[in-house]
Amino acid sequence: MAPLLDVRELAVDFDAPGGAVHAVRGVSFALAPGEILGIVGESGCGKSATARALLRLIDPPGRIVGGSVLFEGRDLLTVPAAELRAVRGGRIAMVFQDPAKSLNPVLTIGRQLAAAMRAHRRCTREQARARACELLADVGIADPQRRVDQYPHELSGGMRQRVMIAMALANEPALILADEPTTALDVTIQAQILDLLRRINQEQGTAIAFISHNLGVIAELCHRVAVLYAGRVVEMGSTEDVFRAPQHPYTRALLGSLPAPGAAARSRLTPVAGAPPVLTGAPRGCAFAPRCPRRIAVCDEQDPQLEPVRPAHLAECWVAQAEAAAPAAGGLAS
Amino acid sequence: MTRTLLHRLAVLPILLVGVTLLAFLLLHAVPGDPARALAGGRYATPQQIEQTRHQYGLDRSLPVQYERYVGNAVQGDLGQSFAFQKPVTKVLGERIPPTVELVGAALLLGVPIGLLLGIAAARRRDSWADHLTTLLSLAGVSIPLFWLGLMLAWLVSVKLGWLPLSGRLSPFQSLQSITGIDVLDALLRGQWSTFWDALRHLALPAITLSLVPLAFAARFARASFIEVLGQDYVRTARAYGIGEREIVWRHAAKNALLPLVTVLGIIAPALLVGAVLCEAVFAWPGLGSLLLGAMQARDYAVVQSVMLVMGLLFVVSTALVDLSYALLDPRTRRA
Amino acid sequence: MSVGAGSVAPRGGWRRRRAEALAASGAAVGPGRLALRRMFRNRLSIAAVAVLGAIVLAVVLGPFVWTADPNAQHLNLAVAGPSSAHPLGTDTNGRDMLARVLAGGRVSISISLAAVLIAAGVGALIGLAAGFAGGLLDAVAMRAMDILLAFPSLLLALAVVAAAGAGVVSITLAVAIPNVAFFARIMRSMVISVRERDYVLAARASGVRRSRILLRHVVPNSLSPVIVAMALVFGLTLLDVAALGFLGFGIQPPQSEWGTLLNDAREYLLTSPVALIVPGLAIALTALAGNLVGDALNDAFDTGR
Repeated sequence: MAPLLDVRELAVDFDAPGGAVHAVRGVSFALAPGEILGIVGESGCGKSATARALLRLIDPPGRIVGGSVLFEGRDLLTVPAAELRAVRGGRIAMVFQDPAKSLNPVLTIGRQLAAAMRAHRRCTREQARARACELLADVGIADPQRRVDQYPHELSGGMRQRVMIAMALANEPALILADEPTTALDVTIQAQILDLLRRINQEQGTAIAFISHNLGVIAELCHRVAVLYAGRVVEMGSTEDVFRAPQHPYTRALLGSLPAPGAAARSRLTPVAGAPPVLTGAPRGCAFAPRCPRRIAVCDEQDPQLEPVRPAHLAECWVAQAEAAAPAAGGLAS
Repeated sequence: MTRTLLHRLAVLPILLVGVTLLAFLLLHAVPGDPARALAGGRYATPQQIEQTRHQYGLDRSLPVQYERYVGNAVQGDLGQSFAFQKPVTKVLGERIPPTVELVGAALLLGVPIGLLLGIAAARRRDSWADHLTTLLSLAGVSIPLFWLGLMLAWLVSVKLGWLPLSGRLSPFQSLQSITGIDVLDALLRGQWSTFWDALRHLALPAITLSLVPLAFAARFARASFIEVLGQDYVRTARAYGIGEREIVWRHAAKNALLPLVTVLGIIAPALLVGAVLCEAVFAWPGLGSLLLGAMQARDYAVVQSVMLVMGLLFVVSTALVDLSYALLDPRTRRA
Repeated sequence: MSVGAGSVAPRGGWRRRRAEALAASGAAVGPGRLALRRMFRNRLSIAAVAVLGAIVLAVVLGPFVWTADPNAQHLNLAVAGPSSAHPLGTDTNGRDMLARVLAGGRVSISISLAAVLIAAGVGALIGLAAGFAGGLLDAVAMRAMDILLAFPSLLLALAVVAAAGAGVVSITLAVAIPNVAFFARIMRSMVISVRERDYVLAARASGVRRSRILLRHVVPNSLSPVIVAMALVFGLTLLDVAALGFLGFGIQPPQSEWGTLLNDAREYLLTSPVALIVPGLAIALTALAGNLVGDALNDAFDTGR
């Protein structure tokens, strides 16, 4: 089955006084229809920039400098503005991280939902309002008739995020891009939002690209996961495969840094040694090499590529790829 | 937020009292006998001086005088203008409407154009609109308004002959006033030629004065829209395919223009000063030229009263600014 | 680092700790020199300083170079265009325009300068006192400043002139008074921000007298915003002085000032616009240069505090 979204070698730069920062350095991944893909990485790894670049929402000083985003038969990075506007909110809808700031404080919920609807189809005020109430009910907001005329500040954080999801559903998109949708919320509310997204995916078949730095959330919700580091995808596969048998040293370190359930209460956490690289200039070799416990000579010389190391499981690591080619050599595979 | 507001409002009566006090003391700051000054200076006879002294209680102590002054003022008695030989309130009544007309026209002209300019500047950095806005702001604090008015007058009136140079109406026009605002009155009476004539006379002074609100409005709109257009909720609107024009006017405008009333309050002083200057340049018979004329003629009752009126105006506008800002924001409404 | 046992700690130790605290809080060494260097990096600011300097130089030295008498009337040459004898032409009474503009400039600029200095001085004192004393004195002083700030400067100036007449002294005071509040506020906020800083607290804990703290710490730090304010206020003051002159409440003849020159030229709007253009242009250029210099100084001094 052809992928719904096919991202190839996406690259985004941010202009800074000291030179351009290469935030996204050739990210490639694909999303099947109805699939939930998790994009995980630490702060600054380029995941938000990637998400925004998909809809060409990069503002100066950032700019998209390469790659293609194939969606429904066209490259979103090159389509004319009018066509892009039709896709934005119509076929691909985005849910942002901070619902308090992402909703207009001087417009009612109803008006904002209506605006999102009317950007993509004609409907009367009454129709828009009715549909808005429907959507609010769908996302689990009680008493939608009253809420639809309220202002964002009158709703709680969890409700606001539900409103954002309602907005995302307004035009029945094929794909929802969720950029850290639960990061700004309490843990209990987080669970509710995840349930909601899962339900939407199951009932309506909407694909979801879920960006987060929270491994637990990713593990719970996503079918497949792509791990981002320093602007590149370093590992990609089904959630089960990646979490059970991580191939890339970074993924392993990330998983190893999680507090283990049942571990002694005061046992130390193992952070990932070192710090993420500064992404200016043109680095050579694997970006993780300086922090990698398994690096070999070639890691500093040449950029590794994303290659399958197990069935449907890719890793961008010389060592992992070497081990996959010669499993009997006593490596740590599986 | 509300605490500072209450704080400012509590100061209001003190400011009002302060203004009346200053106006009152103005008379006594003048060298010489205040009674003589009020009575007409060198033109006053000794009997008139004594009469005035008695009439205004100037033989009593200062606090009593002040009390009397405020008491009279509240009842509408601001003294007698010896230059006009009329009660001051009557004189004010004649001269306030022309100033209102001038300031109103300047605002109607300057604010919308300024806002549009500022919005255009915010939408595209380094555009001609952007540079023009910066230029206007700089010019506003460097170029004397009265000189600008003179230059404009010379160009449009003398060189090109398009518009009249001064006054409110041509000599051959007559108009019975209703509101005192000639442009309105002419309309109300259906006198089209008079209306046109009044408009032509209003044009130059109004255009000159409109540069003050224009520069302010442009700078304000630019700063405000730049800030709002960078907000997350605007990014959301873009992410949902809403067009730029709709974003600017339906999603950003309300947020960006919220403090407009505040800005209007802030420019009120500059506007009034500008009005005084424009009235001087174009011989416009309003409050400003009244003040200047009275100062020249040493008609202190008028000077004092005009200062009082202006002072009260400023205090009130400052308070309204604070009040409106606090009330307009829906987020503070619930506080 | 406890300074609590201050009375017992050696004086040398206090000085060292103070220096450490000073360095830690980021008080720049030689901010003046740093600012000057930054100012001259920008071409516009160089141009502004040059223009301002040229104008000031012109009005100061002008009368020595161009010795025509500004008040000498050559009625036979009235309203003449530019010529070698009169580079800017003559006015309606045959007086040399260039000489008049130079002489007028001298008066305008010196009054404005004096007014700015007075306003800065008095305002700074009030601000210092209010900021340091706090409490009732602070509240009363600031309310008074608020009242002053509610009024536009020109109207206040007119009020003063109405009461005191139009002489050089009264005009200077008239345009100075409205700006006092501005400087008072600046000074006061500087005092308030500085007095909470580490090195001041350290000094006070060591028993240093408040006046000494004032002089050593507050004043040097306040210098930069005050200087910037002076440059910006200079332009506004110049405009006010000219406005007073234009409205007929300025310097009385035979002395002239740019504003009064404009007023004189008014009658002859129909016949000789040159007399109108030149003084007005002079005012605008000087004020503009002053503002640009002020902006440049502001950027230059703004070394990430």
